[in-house]
Order: sequence, then structure tokens, then C-alpha cells
Amino acid sequence: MIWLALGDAFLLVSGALLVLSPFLLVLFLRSPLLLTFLALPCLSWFFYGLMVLRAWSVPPPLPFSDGILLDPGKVPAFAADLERLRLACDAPAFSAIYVNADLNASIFQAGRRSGPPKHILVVGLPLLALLTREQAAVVIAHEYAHISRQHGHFARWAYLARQRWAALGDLHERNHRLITAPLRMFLAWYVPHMMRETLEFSRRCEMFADAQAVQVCGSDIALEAEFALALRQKAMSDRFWSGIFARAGEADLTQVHPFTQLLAEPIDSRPRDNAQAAVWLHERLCEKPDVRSTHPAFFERVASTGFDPAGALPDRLPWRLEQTSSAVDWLGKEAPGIAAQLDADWRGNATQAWCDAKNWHLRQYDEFSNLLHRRKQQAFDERDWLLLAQLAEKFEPTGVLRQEAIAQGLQHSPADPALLRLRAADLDENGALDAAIALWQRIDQNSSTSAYQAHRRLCELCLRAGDKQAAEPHRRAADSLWPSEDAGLFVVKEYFPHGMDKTELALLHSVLQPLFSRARAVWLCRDKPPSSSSPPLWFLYIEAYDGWLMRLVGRLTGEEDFNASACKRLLERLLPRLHVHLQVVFIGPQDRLPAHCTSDSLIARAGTTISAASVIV
Amino acid sequence: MASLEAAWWQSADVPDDRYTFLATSSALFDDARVDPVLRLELLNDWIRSCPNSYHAQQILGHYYFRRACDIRTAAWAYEVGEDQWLAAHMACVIAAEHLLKAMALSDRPALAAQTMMQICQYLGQPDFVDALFHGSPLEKTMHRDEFEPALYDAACAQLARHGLKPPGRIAASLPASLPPVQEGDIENPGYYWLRYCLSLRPRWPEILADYAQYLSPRWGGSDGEVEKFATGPLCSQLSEQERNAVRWPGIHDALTVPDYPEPGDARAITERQKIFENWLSRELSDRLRFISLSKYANFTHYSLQDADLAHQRHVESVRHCKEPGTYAGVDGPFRDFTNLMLIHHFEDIEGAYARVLQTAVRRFDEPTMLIMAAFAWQFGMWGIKADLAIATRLIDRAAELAPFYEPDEFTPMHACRMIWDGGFQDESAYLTRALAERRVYAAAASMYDIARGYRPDTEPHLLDEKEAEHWLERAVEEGEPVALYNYAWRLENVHKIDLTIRQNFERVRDYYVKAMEGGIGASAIRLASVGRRHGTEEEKQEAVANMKSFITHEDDHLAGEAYSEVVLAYKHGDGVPRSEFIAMQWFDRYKELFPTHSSMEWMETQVYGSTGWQMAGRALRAFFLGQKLSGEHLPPK
Repeated sequence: MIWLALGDAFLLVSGALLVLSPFLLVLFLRSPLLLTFLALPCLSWFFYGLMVLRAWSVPPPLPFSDGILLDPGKVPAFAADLERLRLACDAPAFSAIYVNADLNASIFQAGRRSGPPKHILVVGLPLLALLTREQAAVVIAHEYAHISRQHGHFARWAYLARQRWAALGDLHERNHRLITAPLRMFLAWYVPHMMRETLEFSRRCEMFADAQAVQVCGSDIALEAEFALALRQKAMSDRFWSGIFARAGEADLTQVHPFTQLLAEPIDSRPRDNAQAAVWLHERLCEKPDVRSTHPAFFERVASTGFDPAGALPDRLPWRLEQTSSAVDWLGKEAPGIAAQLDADWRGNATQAWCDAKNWHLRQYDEFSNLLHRRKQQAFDERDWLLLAQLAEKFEPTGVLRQEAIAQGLQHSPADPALLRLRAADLDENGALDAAIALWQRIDQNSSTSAYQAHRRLCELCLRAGDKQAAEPHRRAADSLWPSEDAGLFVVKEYFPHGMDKTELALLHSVLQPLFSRARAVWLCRDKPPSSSSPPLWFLYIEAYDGWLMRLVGRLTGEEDFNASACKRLLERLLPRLHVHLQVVFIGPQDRLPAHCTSDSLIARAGTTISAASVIV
Repeated sequence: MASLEAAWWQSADVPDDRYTFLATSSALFDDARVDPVLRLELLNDWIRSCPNSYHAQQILGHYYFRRACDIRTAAWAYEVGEDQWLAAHMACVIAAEHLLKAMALSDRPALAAQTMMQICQYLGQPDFVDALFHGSPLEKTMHRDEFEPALYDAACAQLARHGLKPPGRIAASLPASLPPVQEGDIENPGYYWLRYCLSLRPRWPEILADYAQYLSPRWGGSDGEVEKFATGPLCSQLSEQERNAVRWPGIHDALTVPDYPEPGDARAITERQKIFENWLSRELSDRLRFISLSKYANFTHYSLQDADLAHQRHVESVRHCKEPGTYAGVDGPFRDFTNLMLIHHFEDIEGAYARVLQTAVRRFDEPTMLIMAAFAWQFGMWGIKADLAIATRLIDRAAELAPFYEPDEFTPMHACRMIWDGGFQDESAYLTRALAERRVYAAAASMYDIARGYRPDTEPHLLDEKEAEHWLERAVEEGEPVALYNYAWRLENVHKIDLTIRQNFERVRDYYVKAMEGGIGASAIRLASVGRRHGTEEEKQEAVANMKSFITHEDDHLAGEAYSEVVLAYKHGDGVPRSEFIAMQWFDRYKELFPTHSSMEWMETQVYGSTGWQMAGRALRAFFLGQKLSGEHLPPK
């Protein structure tokens, strides 16, 4: 709050001072000569001040993006439960309730300046359709907690502040006038701090709302709601929507009614069974807190219910609806109408995505036909068989071609992990759990890159077979491997000196020479030792020159990181000319030198190239 | 033809296959001497006089296909113009019409079916053939009203260059003897025709190799697809040597796409060398071994930088070259071999290079090789006895072939330049003059360079100011882009014509524009410079805008020149507001990116002054007092 107030105050004062600068000068300056000399600059300060004040008056956020207004009179059960929760949370009543298409709920609070205060609840139909009444009540209680503590007002203020500072950022972008220097320097210092503080505060608000929901609904049901929501989120993003768009090949958009379908809890809106649900939750529990997010990490949220995230999961997980959904209980006969309206809105917005999906389907079908054609004249390798098996699953529903392709592929390459994975999935599907477990164990042994997936699948299969004891070590092993799976990014485990031949290094030097005069030091590393037969990934580490004078000039002119920017621009021209593909990493003045940037990997220092002869050990 | 065909059918391995040579390689005419209209007339006369002749229809069909290839050119697909594609497809329509008629006239129309396969793989099966297979009415007939008029006219002009006309009403039908189509054949017509060919002649390695070519990455195939085809069911009956011929397109791509590794790129060189050695250890036909070894020699010279070994390998490759075979193109191994002989002055061991030239003389169809041969016969090189009459005939023939010459990286003028660089200045000047007098290969522009002394270490007796002027004017007359650039530059900087006079300005500008359209990058800079200084306000603005978009040019020198022009524009306020500060910003960026650029020192003096004090003074003045324009005037981030 203090940060936001400080920023706003600074902005207003600066803007006002700049706008008033001509009057202030007339008031305080006695010398007519000086006044004449400053007349013209003063005029530009005045306009600059106006622009600063204009940036301050950014438009407020829209109340909500979309949704259908709910008439509480038509949903009495929902209204009654809302009132019960409101009293429990000691919060003001919602002035309006909207239903939208998200698997989520949110609030919007508007200030008093434009009439009576507004407290609006926006709740997604998917959330109501896929959660029970008790589970959904936890979510509503969470939103009431936000309302009761005026979190909506803070969120709105933070939003406005971010818009203001973004507008000011644009105003100062490459603006070299000296008068802009103080505000630009403030901007450079303030914005990162403000962002960090507001995000931190948002996360605290979420934690408070979670705690309030636990207090109102009880920890068991709060935990169940967290689990149910996490499972449904994964199912919706991984399976439900992809399943909807997979129909683009044969169905017309007008025939598709995703929200109406959701009211019947379709099979792809949930995990396959309790075992799969457990593995999905294991994965979610591994997620690390994200400093850029307004929400706490999943493990922090479940911990707030009193559950130990590192401990075993409950035996029964809320992987499907065991009672009627909250949509049925709360919306009653209104639900189908709302779903139909959301379907119509969705169809209006999904035309392009549907068209893209259709084209994608056609391209895949062409690829499938091409494979069938090639099979008549060519000897396939394991990759062809794998692709054929994958496409046959979609385009040849009997499954015969898929089976044949897997069998042929494995005959060609018996240890191919991708083909083995397909075979294991088939065995699992057919209930041959022991055989599937054996196959996954083989995959784990043969392919180190599949280890994470293998442990997760083994855990799932063991749980499905009812062997919790056998599943636990696999969960632990997969959890320990999680960092390498983080966000699906490839993470290099170890770096090695470049180990390049002298002539090859000379070739590299000859191209990168212009860069070296801008860099204090340059290192070249690889992700595999030189003895490895597979091609390495190359990493170029650059520590650009950085001195206080350049930093000062950079800040005054708004062109920061002068040498680092120069290096980046030079690399834009030079990298395409290199015979190897380099991933470039810049080492800033505040960064620690990575441990692998040693003398063995150094290729240039202070503008001088370091030849291979002196570095190869 | 009938007797040659009969011999071809009798044996699978014909050592001297004159039948296919005659029927499919345009060997019936000397294109340089027989007018394209006359060629077509003669082939049509053949059909009229022998309406039931399979070969008359097949050869005419193949002739149209070859012209379609000429229209398309061997350039990468993205470089081919829309009019070229349309004209090529028009030619293919007529080709297919004749080929289908030919098929109806023979029990075993193997070569007609082979050409149909090539049409399908290279340019696509014509729509009317698709429609015939579908049994549906033809939707597109290649008539004028189906296309943009300008495009249609441009395509007709392309056809006319080869004496062809757009197709009229198509009156072909599918011969009854054709096998029925199978599932997937409509999408892959080339495979249908391949199967048909193999049903007519089951042991036909050449057609499998031909088909495999279109499976290589160069033609859009995936890596290893050629190998999968070579080990697939259709090639199961081939011998290992024949299978290697099928493999060659895939191997060729692996060896040459992308180009040979740069010298010093040790890992890539080792990798490529392994592929070469592995390939050469296989059982290969003489022809394939010659091609492969010559490429290996080229690689040895370029990547390994070992001229001695490269020469040995070239000599070894020529041992496997059986006449009348020679290099498939002049850029590549032939250029490399020539470079070794001229620049490195190797002794012609086993008379290998002389043999290559003698074969070229016998073939009489490749101008760059003929120019090298003319050099040998004119001046008695590499053991070839000097014979001025033969040399003159070779030069005449090279000139005669000029209209049919598809631009290559190694032109007759490149050959003349290589002769010059090899220390044979008089000889090079002689050949260049001979070609310039015949007004071919832009030799006049080269003669200007020689007589003006632009080439390094030109001997004094070759310098002649008057002659230089003469050749420059001749080259300008011929519209040679380099000459147009040189001429404009001389008007501007040597004759110093007054560019403030609008007429003079437009004259110089027009020469630069034509040179730029001819691909001379430097003329864009000069054009902007002239426009910035002497154009109207609008032209000045356009010039600066052009230079701002030119700064990302891949050529460092040209990009640097573009920066200089922008710096000067801000310094003098040409086409943009005047601002010392902004000029300095652009100069700093120029210096940052091109610190060794040839104009750097001069530009620095212009912007910052020549002494340290001047520099500091101007920088401080610009920083504190200079006009600060909005961000759009600054160099890009």
C-alpha cells in the first residue's frame, strides 16, 4: 500500500511541478535575462508535465470481461448458500453474480466515487459443473474473504498503478532529454520494487482467503476442494479442450456444445481413476512458488488446510463427482440455459481456433496418407513406425494398424523407448498391469531421459494394482527428478570447457572478433564432454564491459547496459555467420560468474583472443 | 529408332545406350544452330507424316517437357517466378497430351511413361490428366480467361522464347492399356507412373534412381528417405552397384547441403570426410565414382585446404570418366580442377585436365569449358598443341551458346578472370576481348576493368584510357549493370557533372536505378547519396528512409555505407531534421557494428572532428545543447 501511495504521490508531485514550472520560475527568478534564456525549455517542461499527468490518469479496469448475469430469485438454493457463507465470513453481500466460462471464480470491487460500492462475484460454469456443492462452497468462501478485507480495491489500485507506470515507461522509452532523467531514474528504481511488493501482498491476500475458507468450511472439505480443482484444471487443459478440438476434423463447429457437455461430467473432464489422480497431484505438489504470480504455489495452498504436502495422499481422492454437482444443486433448471448461452458465445469466439484445428487435422491426415504411401515403397525405420502408430490411433479406429506399427517398430528397434511407451500404454489399457509395469521398468533402465516419466507411470500402475508400498519409492524418485522437468524446459546438468580444435577456435575467433572489444571476457562451454559422440549444445557466456561512468551515462540517456546492448546487436549480425549454433548468456555486473566459466573455457579477455593451445588440458 | 529400341528391350545393361540418348536428351538438334520454331516445325512435320509413330509423339512430348524445365530453370523453387511456373505447366500440358497419344501407339511405351513420371515428380501432373483419371470434366483448361491477364501474357512470353504457344483445346484420352489407379495414386501420380514403367520393364535401375532423386531433402524429402527407398521393396532386385546409384541423390545431399564446411571447422570436416570415405568404399559405377571422386577432390581443396591431395584426387576421378561423359555442371569440381591448374600451376599428370578439355571440345556444348579449351588451344597449354583455327572455332562456339546459357557461378568470364589471376594477363585479355567483340557474357565490362587498370598488378601495356572508355560505353549500351554503375559513378566523381541541374541528376539517378535493378548493391547507396544531396525534399526523405532499411544488409560494407549516409543526413539535415546529437548516435552505432569500415576515419572527422578537444567539445555541445528528436530518429534498439 505504501509503495503504491509513494509512487502515485511522486508522480503527481513531479507532474504538477513540471506543469507549474513556468509560473514558479516567474515567481522566483528575478533576472529577466535568465528568464528569457529559460523561456523555451520551460515550455517543453510544461508539455512534458502534461504528458506525465496524462499517464497518471489511465482508464480503470473493466468490471469483468464476460459472463451471464444471474438472477438470485431464479436460483434460490445458490442464494441461500451464498447468504450462509456471507454471514460466516462477515462480508458484505455480492451486488451482482455473473457466470462465465472459466474453471475459476473471482471478485471485482469498485470504489465509492461512482455510486454505491459494488461487490461482484464471477464464477465459472465449469467450476460449478465439476465440483460438488461443498467443494464449490470453499471457493465461494475464499472469494468472500477477499471481499471482507477489501482485497478487490487493492487489486484494482495495483492494476491502475501498473498501467500508469507502463504508460510512463513508454513516455521515457529512448527519451534523451535531460529533464526526463530524474523521473527515468526513479522509474528504474521504483517499478521493480513496486511489482515485487504488490505481488507479495497479493499472495498474502490469497493465503488469508484460503485460511478464512478453511475456517468456514473445515479443513477436510477445503483440502478436498483444492485437490478437486487441481485435478479438474489438469483434465480440462490436457484432455477436455484438446478432445473438443480433435473433433474439428469431422464435426462442424455448430454441432459442438462443450459447456452443455460439461454438465454431464464427461470422461475427459476428470482423471481416469484414483491412481491417475494421485499421480497428477504428486506432480502439482512438486511445483515451486513463482515470484511472478499473484497466487501461492499449490503445495502452499494445501498446506494451509493442515495437510502435509510431503506426506501420503488420502486413499480416496475427489477425482470424480460422487454427488450431484453444484451446478445441479445451485443452478437447477437454469444450468442448461446458461450452458447453451456460453456455448453460443464460445462458438462465436472459437471460429478461428476451430479452423486452425481443422487444418491441423487435415495436415495430420495428409501425413498419415503419406506414410501409408511410403510404406509401399520404402523400408521404414523405428521413427516411421512410431509416427504411423501415433497417427493410426487417430485415423484408423480399429487399432489393428497401430498394433502392427508398434510390433514392426519394436522388431526394428526393440529398445526404442517411445515405442515401448506405446506398448505399455496399450497393456495398461487392456488391464495387463504386471506386463505394463515390467515394460516401464525396462524403459527406465534403458533410457535415462525417460526416467522421470517412467517413475510417474510406475507409481500410477502400482497404485492401480493396489500396491501402495511399491508405488511410494517411485513417487519419491519422480519427485527428486522434478527440477529437470520444471515447466517442460530442458535443463543442462553439467557444462564442460569447449574443447575445440585450435583451427576451429580460430574460425570462431575470426567471426566473433568485433564482439571481443566490447566484452571484458567471453567463455565458451558445451553440455557434453568432447569425448561424447552426440553433438553438443554450445553456450557462449559474455561479460560485457561495465563501468560506473558508462552506467551513469546510460541512466542519464536512458540507454542502459551500453556495452551489453552493443554485444547483443553485434551478435545479431555475427551469430548467423558462425558454423555452430550458440546459446548466448550475458553475465551482468551483479551476477555471479558461473562455476563453469573457467580459464579452460575462456576464449577472449579484454579484447584479446585466447587460443586453444593454451587452454586445452 | 525402332532397331535401337529393339536392342534396348533385349538387354537390361546396354553399354552404349543410344536409344535413350536419342529419345530423351534432345540430341536430335543442335539448339544453338537450329531455331526453336524450326525445331518444333520439324517435329510436328514428323508427326504429320507418320501419324502412327510412337517415337514421333514421344519425342515431341519429351521435347515439350525439356522446354518446361528450361522455363522453370534449375533455380530453387522460391526463386522461380509465377509466370515461369505457369508457362512450365502449360508446356507440360502439351507434353502430357503427346505422351498419352504416344502411349496409345505402343505396346510398351516405356520412355513415354518415364517422361510422365518425371513431369509428375518435377512439375506436377497436369490437371487434365488428373481429370481423366478421375473421370471428371476438366475444370482448368489453361485458357486466358482463367488467369490474370498480365500473368498470362508474361507466361506466353516465356513460352515464346522457346518457340512455344499456350495449349489449345486438349484432345487426349487415357490409353486403354494403362493399369487402373490404386488408392493413393491420385495424390502420388509419380508413383503410379513408376509402377507402370516397372511393369513394362521390371529391371530398370535408371528409373528407380531417377525417382529416388525426388525423395532427397533437396526435393522436400526427409533425411534418410532415399536410403529407405533404396532398401525398400521396389529396389530389392537391384545389384549393390545399382542400389548405390539409387542411393546417390541422398548421399549427394548429405555431402553438399549445406555447402562444404569452412576450412577450420574440424568437426564438420571430419564428419563429411567420413561420409565421403564410406561412400567411396562402396561398389560404384565408373560414372558415379568419377562424380563422387571429383566432389571429394573439391572438398579436399576447399575444406581441407590440401591442394596437392586435391589434385591427385581430381586426376584419379578423371580415370573413371568414360567419354562422352563429363562433369554435370561447371561450378564445383570442374571449377576447382581449373583453379588448381591455373592458380596453383600443377603439372597435368596423366594429361587428366587436357582430357577433360578434349571431351568438352568433342561435346561442343558447354561455353565455360570451351573457353578453357580455347585458352589451351590458343596458347598451347597442358600439352595441347597450339592451333589458332581450333581456338577461334571454340570461341565462336562459346559465343554461339550464349543465348542458351543459364547463369552459373562459373561463367566464361569467371574463367577468363581465373586465367588472369593465374598470371596469364595477356592471354586473359585476349580471350576477354574476343568475347567482348562478339558482345557476349558481359565481356565489355571486364575489358573496361582491364584497360582501366582496376585489376591488381595490371601490366602497363594493357592500360589504355581510350579503349577503357570505348568498352565502358559498349557495356552501358548492352545494359550491363556493373557498367551502368561505373558509368554513373564516373559521371558523378570523375566528370563531376553538376548534379544541381535536374537533367544531370536524373541521368545519373537513372543509371544507378538500372544498376540496382541488375543486382548491384552498391548502387543503392550511391542512389541514396545522390538523392539525399540533390533530390527534391520528398526524394531526400525517401533516400534516408531507404538507407535506414538498408542498415541490416548482410554485407558489412554496404550496411556500413548505409549508416554513413544516415549520419550525414542528420548532420546536414537532408530529408530529416538536422541534429548533431542524433548524427552522433547513428555514428556511434556505426562504429560499434563496423569498427573497421573503410569510411570510418573520414566519418569520425565529419561528426566529432579530428582532435580530442574538438571531439569532447562537440560531444558535450550535442549532449547538453543539441536538438533531441523523438525516439523514432534514433538508431534501432
